[in-house]
Amino acid sequence: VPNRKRSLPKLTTVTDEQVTEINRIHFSFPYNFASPPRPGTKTALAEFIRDYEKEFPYALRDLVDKLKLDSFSAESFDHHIDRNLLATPGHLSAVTVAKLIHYCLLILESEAEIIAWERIDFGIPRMPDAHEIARVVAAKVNRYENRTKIPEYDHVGQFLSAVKHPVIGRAVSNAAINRWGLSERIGLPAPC
Amino acid sequence: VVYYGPAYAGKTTSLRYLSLRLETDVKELPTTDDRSVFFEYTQSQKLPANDLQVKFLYWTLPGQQKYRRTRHLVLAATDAVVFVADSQYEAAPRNLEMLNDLEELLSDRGMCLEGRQNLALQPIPIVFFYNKRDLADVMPVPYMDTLFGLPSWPARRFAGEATAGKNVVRAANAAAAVALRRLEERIYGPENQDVPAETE
Repeated sequence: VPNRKRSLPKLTTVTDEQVTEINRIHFSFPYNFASPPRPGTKTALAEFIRDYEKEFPYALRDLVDKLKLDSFSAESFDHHIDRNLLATPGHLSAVTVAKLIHYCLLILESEAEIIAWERIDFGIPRMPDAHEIARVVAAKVNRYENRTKIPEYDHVGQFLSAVKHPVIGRAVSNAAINRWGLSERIGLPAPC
Repeated sequence: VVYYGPAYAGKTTSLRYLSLRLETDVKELPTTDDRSVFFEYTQSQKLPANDLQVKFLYWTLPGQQKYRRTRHLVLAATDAVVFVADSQYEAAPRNLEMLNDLEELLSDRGMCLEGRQNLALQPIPIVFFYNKRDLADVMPVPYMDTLFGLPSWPARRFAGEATAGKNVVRAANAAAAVALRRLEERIYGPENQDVPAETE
């Protein structure tokens, strides 16, 4: 726990009320959060979050729950998420973790669309895969001299902070690979 | 407050003028590998408003099709829109296309432009800024009003020149004032109708 003076959070398993609230989050794509590459069945977000409760504990309730924030934006992320504590076990509630996963996937969707349109401009018919989208996201952040120079409201910087949380990172990775696929030749330029 | 409008309508010029007046920096968020296209934002200092300390954040969004989802992402948190319209005749279709795009994106997020009444959706105030009035052969203001349907749509409208800063701050103030009114309504309830005086 980074701050020793801070009282330890009340940890909890994911309650039925939280599952209901997570199921209310609207995704524009029917993401599958099951482990890739060839998931047998579809795993919903609430189910995925519940599966991880023993490996990475959630807080009973956090600031975002108290403020009744529906979803994240660049501003609300910056105001209500402590990037230093974000990946601390028990810092975020299960519902907040779900909302952050939703926010991260919106960011990935926007990056994927930019890449897809650029490819159309260059006459490349193939859509980007999850690996290529991740590479573009990393390249954007690497343009800044160092991490402290990333503007506070940069979506991509916020994305990279959020995925440090193991449950968010795993969920976003699973959903992205199941959504966009993964080039077979990881580490090599993808075929055009 | 989001500056919305077609590419090259003057959104960035407006934001940069505003940041000069606010004496703050413009922050650029690169959007592509070629470093030439940016999302930009600038923010005011915290200002007292009744019992609140309010900071206004002004964004511009690139108008190209490939940034549609990214616009969607930023619009999710908007409290008001300044629609920067290009006054040149040839820009008329692009202006309308972007206005439709804005309405579609807002509708996806359960929102609509204020004055386009839809009780099921959350209304977002809009202020029109007819830019490039200094150029020759621009659409007359009443013509643009008709183009956007303003005769039957009670939205505020300013005509100006972003390059010279004419009416840029007035438009920003009008958008900020309505955004603040909405915030106060959310906090104190709809009976609080005090709107701060609009000053440049």
